[in-house]
Amino acid sequence: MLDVTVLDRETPPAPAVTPTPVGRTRYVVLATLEAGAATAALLGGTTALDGSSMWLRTGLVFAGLYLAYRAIGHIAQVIAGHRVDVLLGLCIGWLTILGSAVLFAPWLPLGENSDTSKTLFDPSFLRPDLFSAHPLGTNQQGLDMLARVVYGGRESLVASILAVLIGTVVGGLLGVLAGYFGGPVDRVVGILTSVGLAFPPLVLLLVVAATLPDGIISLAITLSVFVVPSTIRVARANTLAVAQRDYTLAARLLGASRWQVARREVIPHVLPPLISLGLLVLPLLIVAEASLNFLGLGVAQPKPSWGNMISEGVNGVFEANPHIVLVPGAVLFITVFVLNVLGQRVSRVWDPRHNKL
Amino acid sequence: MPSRSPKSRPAAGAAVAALAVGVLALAGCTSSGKSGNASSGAPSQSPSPSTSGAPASDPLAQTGFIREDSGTAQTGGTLNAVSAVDAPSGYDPVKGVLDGLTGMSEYAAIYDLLLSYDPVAQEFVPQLAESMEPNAAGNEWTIKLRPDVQFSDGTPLDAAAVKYNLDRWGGDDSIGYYYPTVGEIKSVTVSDPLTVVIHLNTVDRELNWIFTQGFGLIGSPTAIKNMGEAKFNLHPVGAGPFMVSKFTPGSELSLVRNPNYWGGDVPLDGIKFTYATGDETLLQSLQNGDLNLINIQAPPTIKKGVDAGLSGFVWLRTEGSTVVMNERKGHVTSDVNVRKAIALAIDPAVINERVYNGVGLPTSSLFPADMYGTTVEGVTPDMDQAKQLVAAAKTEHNWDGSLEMLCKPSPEAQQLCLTEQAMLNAAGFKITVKPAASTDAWVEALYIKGEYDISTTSNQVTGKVGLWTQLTQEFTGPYTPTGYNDPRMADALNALRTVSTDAELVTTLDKIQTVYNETVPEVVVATGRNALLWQGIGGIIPSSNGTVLFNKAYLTS
Repeated sequence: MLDVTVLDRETPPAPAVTPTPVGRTRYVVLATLEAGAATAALLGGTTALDGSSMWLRTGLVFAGLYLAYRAIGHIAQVIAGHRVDVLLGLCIGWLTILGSAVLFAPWLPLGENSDTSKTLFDPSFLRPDLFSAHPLGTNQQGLDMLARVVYGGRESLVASILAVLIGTVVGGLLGVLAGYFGGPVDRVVGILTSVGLAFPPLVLLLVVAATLPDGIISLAITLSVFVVPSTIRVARANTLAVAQRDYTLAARLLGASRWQVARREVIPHVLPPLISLGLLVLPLLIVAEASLNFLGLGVAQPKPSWGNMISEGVNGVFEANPHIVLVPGAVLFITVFVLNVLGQRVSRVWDPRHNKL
Repeated sequence: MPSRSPKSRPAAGAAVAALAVGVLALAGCTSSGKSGNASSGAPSQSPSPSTSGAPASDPLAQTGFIREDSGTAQTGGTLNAVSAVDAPSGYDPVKGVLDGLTGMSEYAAIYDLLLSYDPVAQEFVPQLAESMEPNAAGNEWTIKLRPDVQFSDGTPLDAAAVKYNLDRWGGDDSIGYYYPTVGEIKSVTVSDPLTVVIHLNTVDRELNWIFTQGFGLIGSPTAIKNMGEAKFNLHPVGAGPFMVSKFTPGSELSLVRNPNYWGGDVPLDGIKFTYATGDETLLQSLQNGDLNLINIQAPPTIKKGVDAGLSGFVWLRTEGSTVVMNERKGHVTSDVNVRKAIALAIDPAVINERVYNGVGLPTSSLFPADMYGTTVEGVTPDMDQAKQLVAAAKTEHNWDGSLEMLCKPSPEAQQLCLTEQAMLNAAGFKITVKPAASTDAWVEALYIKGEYDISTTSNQVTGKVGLWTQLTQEFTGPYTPTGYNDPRMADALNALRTVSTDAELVTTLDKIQTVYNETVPEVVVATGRNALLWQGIGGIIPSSNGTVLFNKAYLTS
């Protein structure tokens, strides 16, 4: 059997450049200056200039973050001796922190996230104070925003990941079947896929969400409807390509049945682009899940999800208490951004359009 | 020096943007004081009774105008209003659930009223009727009509027309909303073209109140007969200051000036009513100038509007926020001890702080002392006693404490439900909040099908007159969402019809409150405010139960 080596030609490895002692000192000085300026700008933007122009504070925060990013890059460069992909590191760091928090939430010293009977006499709408018992504040029912972000992440991430898994498995299998066996199977699957893609996604999601009972499984199934058609298309296209490869033909000539070829040769080679697609779709599903919950379809209050937490800002609450929307909104935004970055990086490796035999 | 990757710039920028969002979220949220919102801080943990009603210093704690209208009156123009919370399917009075929250003001614009009621002076005001007086025994009322009044179709509004309309309330066309009053009327007779006499089976000294509401709406008999009831419902003809020019159920009601209105020139060219909910949204529309008049109930939103300098009128209403419980057979809430546990667990003061930002009117009394001078208060919250009753009920009914709370689909209602759920769960209940898919679905489940365990709602009982009619509708008969039916309450309510002095009224209300506390037909958590706020208009005349008259309304420059 022929073997195939997939090489990544898109991103060349970072050149190993060891700075000279003079260059190293220069980077250390630069990083120190950048770190100092970043700290000053962030302090000024967040607390010291409280009460001054919002635009000034916003500008300072952006400048501080940019300087901090530069400083981290230079520090990492001095330590590692070559350029370091800081963005990738930050993304992995965010996902690690978020994933750990979500996974170990019951064992973390968090406030109450959903049992309002325990927060009857806790203050409502407490503003964020990183050094208090409620670092991200409380909502109208006195529930801890940090705990709700973490437990809400459980709902959002579990539903979205589950939806990607369902979509990938169902769509992948149908796509492989259509691409490899062709004929009537391909035609039927093709029609169903076209129908699925023709529906406006939001309308389809609303209809399915309104039809299924409440719960995370229902939400995942609803979201998977969003994934299946495009997964079928990708799986089918890759199956058609793989089916023409020499190793597939060789396997057939050596007497392997169609099922054996599909299982041992086709699916393993179709899987990487599907995983890549799944990673790219995952942030979209997180946003879709948040949208459904914002509209009241999905996780019911007081149980948190990022979407229903954002929806707590309606009816004038956001104007008076911005953290109610900004806290879950920021976490949602950063998570989606991080997953997009990682999805793009993975797709560069696994996307067949970037590969050569 | 290593060369900079050209791809690193957008990535770096994007990363900084992402991080900035996170930090700004905290920066923008963190106040210098780092403390809770002053108006929504921790509710008091004091176990003291929460039945005191409004603080005396609250400017919104009484029925009346908020401030004088300003601006110069203009002639002409169209007033844009959202005055009905629930969009009616038509405007035939005998098919409507009539009060200020369900479009009574639109009815009054189309039909006018036989009588209106000045809620500030607490006096009846003649409209289509010049007078309405009882006999000495109180079992017969005589209506004297204004002469030369015509419907907008040119036919006369005379005694025969009034009798025709009153008879319709007890006929097949009627949905029976005023069944208590219909039941007490023996007959209606026409003495002369302008005089109608109503003979009662019993004494009712406050019958005139209902003529400021639905009974005061007189439609053209000719139009009703010619069109048939279904068409008349969509194309009503009355003798009011306005006539219907366009009606799209659930969407829009456009009225134009009636040039032959008996009361003289009507300043406005017309009124356009649209139907919408969401108090904050309505307030923003009013302040943006998209609307001239709104009808809202949420206390924080009302206060925001008043603080912003808007004009308006506020009616105080008892039972402004209540918890109703399904008391029909098969429901655990048919057990009075379970209902008492709910009443004991819910603290109106906590709801006021958590839901109404401290600007509501918390009370557990059906008739708060500061509104009625009563001496018997509502149930005093007591969590320990509530826990004991819940524990006993669980054993007795082999029940785990589960109840489903039906919730109206609005942000305000959701927070109210969540707060009540918190207190009930603390007492040992297991409450699941179920938001209704739409207001219609909520109405259907609560008032039509009775498919719920407990629910939040509000009622519309205002003033000191007409109490028998309003309360009887609530606590007995087909419009009771709970299935509550207790003869002790019926007896206590019946006494309202013979009340003739303030002292008698207080005694009667105290007796009703006592029965209410013993039988727990519902749980009151706040006195309500029904607020009409307006901008760019003047000349609005308030009447009973949230109704306003538009015959003198004008746009201002």
